[in-house]
Amino acid sequence: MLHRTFKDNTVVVTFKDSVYPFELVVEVLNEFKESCWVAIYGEDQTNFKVYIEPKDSSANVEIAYGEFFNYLLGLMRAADIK
Amino acid sequence: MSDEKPLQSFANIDLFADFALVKVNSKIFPLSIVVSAAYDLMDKGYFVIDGDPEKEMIVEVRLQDSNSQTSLLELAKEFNNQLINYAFYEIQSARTKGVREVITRAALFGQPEDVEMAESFDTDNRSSCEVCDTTENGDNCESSTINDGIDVDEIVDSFDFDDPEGIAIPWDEKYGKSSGE
Repeated sequence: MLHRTFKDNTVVVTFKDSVYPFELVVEVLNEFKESCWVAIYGEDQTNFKVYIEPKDSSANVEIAYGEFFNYLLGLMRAADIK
Repeated sequence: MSDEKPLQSFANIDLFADFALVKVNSKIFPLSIVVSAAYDLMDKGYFVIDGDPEKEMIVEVRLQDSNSQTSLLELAKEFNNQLINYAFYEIQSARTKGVREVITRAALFGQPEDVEMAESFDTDNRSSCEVCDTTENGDNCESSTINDGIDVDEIVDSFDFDDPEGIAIPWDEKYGKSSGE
């Protein structure tokens, strides 16, 4: 299950027993770290939170949020996750 | 680590006046990744790792130069980015481990088809003569024998070297007395 919270041009996405593998989330955030401040924290690799904040304050975090999940989708398809 | 109340808290960062605390769960990032991330940034700040490496670690972040343009908050955020960076590095290393082993074996033992022989080569049971010039009895190690009965020369001869330029032929064989020179 996923839960997201937008606040002050940042977003926190809570992953709790979600369909997204932890390794792929790390891979996407590794790509995002050039343009965003990112963090993963929480209990373990199935229950965790992802923090995303654009380094450029004029950039819209909702776009980063959408791109994050699209990138994740692409990696899942490439990894042939069923 | 600190009894003060943080000025600002968000994500896993507690920001104080002179330092920041970054909480890292070891089930998400093990100690090795935390150490690598801190090592990468040690020219910008001071990092003190506290807490339980089996449960939760608390990293105290302080700026080295209080006049620098980098703020304490930015340094703490950069530390989070580096955690992701090294976590991904470890994931990639695990993914490519098999490929790296095959390449290393092929480089050490010859062609890829020789890898099976390389795998059968028991590195744990090598005799002492392999690493020194004399055996335990003091005899010279001329025969290069490993593990009673397996000759190094036999192993080398059994490799199917691909040598189209003929550069693997020893000088003596190619230009020695037997060739009439």
